[in-house]
Amino acid sequence: MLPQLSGLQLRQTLVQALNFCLVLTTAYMFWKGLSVVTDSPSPIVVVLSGSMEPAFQRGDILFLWNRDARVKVGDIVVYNVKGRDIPIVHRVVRNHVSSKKQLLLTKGDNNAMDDVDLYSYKQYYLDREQEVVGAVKGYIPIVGYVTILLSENLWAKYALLGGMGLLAMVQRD
Amino acid sequence: MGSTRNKVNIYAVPDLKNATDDEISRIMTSQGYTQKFTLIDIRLALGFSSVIVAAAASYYDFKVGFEAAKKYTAIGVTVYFVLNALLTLWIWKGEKGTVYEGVKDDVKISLQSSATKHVAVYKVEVKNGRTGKKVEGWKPFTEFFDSEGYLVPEPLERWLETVLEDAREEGAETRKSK
Repeated sequence: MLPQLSGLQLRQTLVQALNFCLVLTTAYMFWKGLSVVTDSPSPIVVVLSGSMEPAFQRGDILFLWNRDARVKVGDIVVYNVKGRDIPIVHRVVRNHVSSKKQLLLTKGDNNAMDDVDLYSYKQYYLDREQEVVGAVKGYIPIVGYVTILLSENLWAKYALLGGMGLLAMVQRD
Repeated sequence: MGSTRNKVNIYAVPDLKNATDDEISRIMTSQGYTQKFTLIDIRLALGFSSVIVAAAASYYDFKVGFEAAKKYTAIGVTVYFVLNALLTLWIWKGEKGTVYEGVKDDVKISLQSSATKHVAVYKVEVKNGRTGKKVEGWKPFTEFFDSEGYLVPEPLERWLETVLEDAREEGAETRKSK
């Protein structure tokens, strides 16, 4: 068994394992490459709520850009308040800017109130540098529903991942 | 894996080719060749080093966060895609469909195989590493697969033997010395 495994068979097994690893790492490195280019830790996000209707609906995919030092009033930005996990997509309605810092107030188009309640306790503005993940530059409607389905059903996620891996290992053509 | 007991779908040319490729190495061993794994080892080295680069980049990013890791992530992404491009280039230009490389009596033989989609013919190109002589041969899969889809090694073996002899022929010294 062992001498046989040290030659051709071992290498064939390694090639299949390699193909599996390459599927995963290529997807991951594309994502990382995009995040380096856009300067955003998560350059593509999916809209989860209806607070920006009618501009964006649940399930829309948004493409972000984070290379501009200052965002403009009227831009739609994605922000992550420190200590809260879920990123929020809302419009900038007010800004205070100095040479060092930009502070923003945001509001969902479909919400009656601005976002102060969503910020941390006693926080009245977002810090552009610290909390904004990027400004929305483009979108694809509906497609993001796939990821909503995947993130809300964990089994679907693992089924997809496993299926992709299996295909990579089985296919030799 | 490469045993004669594997049943193949006889209507799928790629499956027939893969099963035959697997059998080649066994036949060559029985002909007295020692297999060389240089080509596949280079592929594995290129592939796994790119995987290691990706794993390192992902670990560092996870550990120190996006902002702090950014510069190294950019380097990692670049190196990863360069290695991947080299791997693709290697498979395309370096391996060129080579399924076997082996040495016997100081003569290196490399064997490339191919099969066109929808044409059930197995084509080989055998190259003599010493003289540079190339011999091409082809044989319909029907001549060494039975109707059930089992490979019958004997006719394949006999045919391969003649192709190999042909390829070795010009290196007459090796033959005389035997």
